Amino acid sequence: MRRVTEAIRANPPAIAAYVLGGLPTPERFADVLVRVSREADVVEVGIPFSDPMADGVTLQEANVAALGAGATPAGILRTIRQVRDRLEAPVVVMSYLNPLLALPNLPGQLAAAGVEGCIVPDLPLEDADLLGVPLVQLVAPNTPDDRAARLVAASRGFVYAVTACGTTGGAVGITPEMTRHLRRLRGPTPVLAGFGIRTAGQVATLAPHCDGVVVGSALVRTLLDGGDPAATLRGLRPTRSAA
Amino acid sequence: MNATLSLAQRHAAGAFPDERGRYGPFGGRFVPEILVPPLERLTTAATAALADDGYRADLTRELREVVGRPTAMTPARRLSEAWGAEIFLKREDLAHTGAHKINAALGQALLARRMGAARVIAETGAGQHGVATAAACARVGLPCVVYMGAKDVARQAPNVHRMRLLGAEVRPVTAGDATLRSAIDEALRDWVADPEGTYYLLGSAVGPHPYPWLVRELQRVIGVEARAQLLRDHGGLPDHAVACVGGGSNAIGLFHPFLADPVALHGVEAGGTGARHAATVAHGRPGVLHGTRSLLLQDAHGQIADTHSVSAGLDYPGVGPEHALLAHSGRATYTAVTDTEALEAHAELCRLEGILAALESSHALAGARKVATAHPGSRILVGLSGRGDKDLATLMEVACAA
Ligand SMILES: Cc1ncc(COP(=O)(O)O)c(C=O)c1O
Repeated sequence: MRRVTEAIRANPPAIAAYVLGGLPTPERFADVLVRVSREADVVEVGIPFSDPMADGVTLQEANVAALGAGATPAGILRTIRQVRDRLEAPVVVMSYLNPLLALPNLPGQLAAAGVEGCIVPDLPLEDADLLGVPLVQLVAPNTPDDRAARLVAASRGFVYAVTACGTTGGAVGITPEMTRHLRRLRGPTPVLAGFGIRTAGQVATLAPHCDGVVVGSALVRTLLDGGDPAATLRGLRPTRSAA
Repeated sequence: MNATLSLAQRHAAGAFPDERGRYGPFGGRFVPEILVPPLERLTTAATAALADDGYRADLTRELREVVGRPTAMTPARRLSEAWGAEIFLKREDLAHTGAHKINAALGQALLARRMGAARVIAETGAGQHGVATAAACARVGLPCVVYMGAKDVARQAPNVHRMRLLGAEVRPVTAGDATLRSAIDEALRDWVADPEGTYYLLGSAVGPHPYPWLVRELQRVIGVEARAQLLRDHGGLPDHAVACVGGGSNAIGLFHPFLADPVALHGVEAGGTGARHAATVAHGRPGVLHGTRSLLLQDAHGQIADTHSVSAGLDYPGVGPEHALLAHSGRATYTAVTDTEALEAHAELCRLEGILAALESSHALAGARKVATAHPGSRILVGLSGRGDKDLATLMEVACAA
């Protein structure tokens, strides 16, 4: 995960771009991955799951579409492995526990694909060694301070600060509680804010309080609508006047 | 704990769940971080409530005065004659709102009020848990939203109307497979949006810790009463206890008080059409769904499989973690009966005993019939988990098709 941390430190506010494996189609996904890696500082590749309980409507729709198009966890890892030399940003995999448990030799497969680690929303801190891979930990606004400190200490690559109670893609307001939440997470591991980030204005407002953002639903929306994800990402970089 | 004790003996001695909410290799709490604080709070509050004489007294009184407990124990004389074994029916169909679901709904509604919740949410499959939750929330004075798969809304229409009449808001879920599993996904999404003010009133012995334990504790009343009734009025313990298993709440409620007794325990799952089914223990592999590690129907890639059963309440690709442990330790056995076998047992009970059982409960009857064939003359306790009024439309369709 050292490459992930370095990439974030090199370019604040960093943007971690979430793309769902197999979208827009399993064939065209390789191209999306390469192009997104040129615009983002970190790429999160989602592995679709039939029951994405932490996801809002956009990512639910995307999971259904990807599975319907025939995406499989092994196939997605194979694609990452095939294009790994052309990727310009480090890659982490994001998925739910069950599809990851079904992959034989997950650490070996991730290493072969050049993937740095995983983000697994339904894998709690207490079971962090279950998969045998480095994990980015998520910290929620309602996480008590002592638990937040333990999550930060256990987190590899970056700390994923969930900015809203709710599912992915929901609205995010930058409140005093939110900035307090972000500040308590600061330490040697960079902090990225995620859940509901979709405008350059939001990125600029969050930038002083963290090391960057995760952009997920907004990018996936672009993919579902047949748009250009690279353009969506460019549009999120704060211009100097906005910052 | 003595290492020479078998898993089943440790289970009977109360070793599960452990302090992490595990049932041996199953159970636990696999949830997004947002849900960790409310689940901690729920565990603390539920542990305190169940140990509190005041809460216990309230619950016992409500179960007596509102639910109508204890429910009857019916020796099924003509059915016994037909099947060549002694059949006893634990009549949860006679409980208020028509199924065992009210036991856990009322217990949790009282807990929600004690915890100061502003609203209650629930999922429902057959609609029985939704109706029970709506009634319990009306009783304790809390607003209630019920998530229900759109497919179940269509096949359980009378229960949708009942929930609405009882003051609940029913939200059909079109995502996923539009049955119970999607309804749980959607209820969890609602809960993450308001983890502090909302009480999630889960209806079966599934989900993250503490739910499988909490629901079991509230459903144990079925087995506790049945055991006492058989010992007092009907000549002693049964040889077998049989219950249907969807998520597994009525079954664990019936089984748990018998764990230390020489009583064979049989869970009956939905065998559907044979090819399409919801027989999780028979065909499932370990995995994680809805916050718990258990047996799951899934494909080779860890995607959850679509299930089928004529009974909406058994149409679920997982099973409570305590049942996964009981299967693993061998303390209970799990079999599947087909839609057709369940419908035949349903018809037999109607004709011979004048009882119209729920289609879910009819699976237990069909399973009991097989136990009777294998063990002629034995004493068989059947958990009749609910009544079949909600299934009239399905039953009429079947009758017309036949
Ligand atoms: C009458 C009846 N029995 C059984 C079930 C299955 O649930 P469980 O396995 O939790 O008892 C249901 C669920 O809706 C039901 O309505």
